[in-house]
Amino acid sequence: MNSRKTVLLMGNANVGKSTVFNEITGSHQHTGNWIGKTVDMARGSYYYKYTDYEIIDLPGTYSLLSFGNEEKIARDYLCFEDYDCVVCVVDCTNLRRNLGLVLQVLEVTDRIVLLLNLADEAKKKNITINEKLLSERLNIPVVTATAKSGKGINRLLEKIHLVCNDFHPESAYKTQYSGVLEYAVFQVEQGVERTIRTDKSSRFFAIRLLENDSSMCASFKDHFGENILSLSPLKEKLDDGKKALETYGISTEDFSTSIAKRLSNAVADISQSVVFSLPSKKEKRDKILDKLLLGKYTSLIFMILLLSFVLWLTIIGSSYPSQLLQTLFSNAETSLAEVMQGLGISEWVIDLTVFGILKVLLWVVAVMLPPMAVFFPLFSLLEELGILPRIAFNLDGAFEKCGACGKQALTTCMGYGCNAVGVTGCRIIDSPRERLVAVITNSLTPCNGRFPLLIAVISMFFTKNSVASAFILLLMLALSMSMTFLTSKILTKTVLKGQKGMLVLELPPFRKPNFIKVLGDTVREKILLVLLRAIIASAPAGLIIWLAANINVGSQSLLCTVADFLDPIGNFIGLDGVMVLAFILGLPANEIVIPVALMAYLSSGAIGDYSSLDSLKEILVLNGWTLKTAICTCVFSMFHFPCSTTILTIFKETKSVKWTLLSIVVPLLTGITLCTAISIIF
Amino acid sequence: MRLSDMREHQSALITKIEDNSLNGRRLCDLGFIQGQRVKCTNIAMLGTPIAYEIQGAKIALRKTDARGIIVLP
Repeated sequence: MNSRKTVLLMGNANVGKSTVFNEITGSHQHTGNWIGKTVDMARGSYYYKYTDYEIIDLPGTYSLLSFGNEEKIARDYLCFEDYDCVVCVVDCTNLRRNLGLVLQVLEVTDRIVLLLNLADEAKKKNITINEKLLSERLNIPVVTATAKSGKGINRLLEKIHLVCNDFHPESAYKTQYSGVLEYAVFQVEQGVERTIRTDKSSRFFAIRLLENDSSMCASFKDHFGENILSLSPLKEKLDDGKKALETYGISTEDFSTSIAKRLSNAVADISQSVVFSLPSKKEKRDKILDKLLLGKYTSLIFMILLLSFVLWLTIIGSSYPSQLLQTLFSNAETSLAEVMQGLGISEWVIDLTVFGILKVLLWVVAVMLPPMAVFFPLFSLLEELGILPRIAFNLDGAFEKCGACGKQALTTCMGYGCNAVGVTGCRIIDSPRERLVAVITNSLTPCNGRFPLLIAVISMFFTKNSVASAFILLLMLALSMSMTFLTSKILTKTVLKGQKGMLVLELPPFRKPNFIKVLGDTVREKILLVLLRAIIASAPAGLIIWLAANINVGSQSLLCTVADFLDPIGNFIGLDGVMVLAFILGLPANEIVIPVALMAYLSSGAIGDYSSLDSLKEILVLNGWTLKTAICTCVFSMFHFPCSTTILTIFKETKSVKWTLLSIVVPLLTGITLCTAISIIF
Repeated sequence: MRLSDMREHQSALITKIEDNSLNGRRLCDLGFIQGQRVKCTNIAMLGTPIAYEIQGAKIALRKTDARGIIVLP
């Protein structure tokens, strides 16, 4: 009895599948209101009643008639892999929409436990489900649970144990089709049973073969051999079935539609008999909220306010901790240098390690960590609340006009936090073509690393009034948004031509988020990861910058020599050589652009702090900065090559050198064009 | 009348799915099936996408995708 059992977790997106997974395995994994969190299948294990269990969290699926990549993965796993039990997780508050998948899974296997999750939300909405009746009708074990608080999980484990050890009812519910449809299905079922060896029910295969489902036929051939469909008796039986349908004048499409209709009728029938509901206050509240959030005019105001608020909170909330960290780190560096001196380590080694590498590294941490720690939890909070899909809804019209997907609005928003995270987020877009558009255009959105520069330049050269500078910042974001639209349009008209993908956007009910969990998840999954990558990238950059500043060529440092060399190019695009060099050296992290520029202007050997914005402005003006330089610096900082972390991420996601290069060239070209134009006009 | 032509807050019954492509089938899976009640709840700024209430859930579709469904108000 001690052999390892395998359990699959299946269900629609947004039903708390991952929460169930975490609750059972105790491992942590992100769960979200947004589709596509579990692209890579999560696996975990647990021990129950002297048995080892492996549990696999399949991607969120609406249906086994797969369309998206993830749905295909889930379907193929269910149809062709070995397992002992499937747990179908459904949302209590919306049994009707979730039950279709359950009936489809029942056509593949009898080994099912049905988990009615989110029981607490159902209770709030005055919805009750007769668990016992549902279990009797489907003839499978049914468990009501609230996975968030662990309620019902023990019963679930017990039922899984029973099913895995064959203590389950013999024949679970199967949707019966009418007349000739059932006859045709039956014929093919027999053909499948006699031709291939599988412990799954042949019913699902039979229906898909009769439907001529191309994606299923392909997977079928993959698993059972290229010529499986011409093997006898499957071939004969399949012909028999098709002939029977033909005799009655039923085309393949008619067959598909009838099957889908029958399934939906069965769903309606079953759910009507087991669900009792009364209207609730929450629905009314949701309706009013949606009126505001999705209204024709209110939505625009709402989105601008929300974006301003999030950015404002990020900037305000991070400025003090950033300063604190900087002071702390700089004191630490000084004391570390003193200790090293005391140990008799030579001066230049201390200079290189402490004031070269460590200083840049700590600088990046100090300016990067606080904004991320504010922005990403806020973003996740909006996700949990259910606001993000609504933003995608509002912006999709514009994205459609550019041939892109509305979900790109979300990846763009993630880009405000960090482009690398935004690029990873593009996984939520189903169509590969539209996903590439989103990946390539993501770096056109200024990330947290570039905001400090933008804000500093605005308050130094444009206006000191905080409201006015916020307005200028919003204008700049509008510019970046329009460039995103423009380049998306150009891309889909040229290199990424193709058919428009379908957009299905679920607008989930508003949910109250769990603050502590949101904070924990984002720290673990986004912040630490990005920070780690930034540290890895900035240490070598620190070394290079220090070397460039301290190796002398002739009378001046290498840094200044290169800057002089780059001066003509810089002047052409409205900058100067130092700024161009600073952007190039800022490749690992955009945060170090200003400090590097300062280093070059002052010809100092280490990255220096500036005491105030006024003194910084003085230095810049002394080195020939004008209003034009300021504007061009802002524009170029919004549109240049992505940082090294983002480039790595793009390559990881696209697995293509060509698209990675394009993602570097597109924003760079945008920036050079705009800056040249500005520099000519001025 | 087509699903895409519905006014905001209008309810209707689905009478036919014209779209027989993969997209049409996907709509079926989402609950857009003959005989179902559907309500148009919100239309976005540019006229697309459009949010529908179907089988208790809110699903937004692009206007072009919603054209393949015939409804009776």
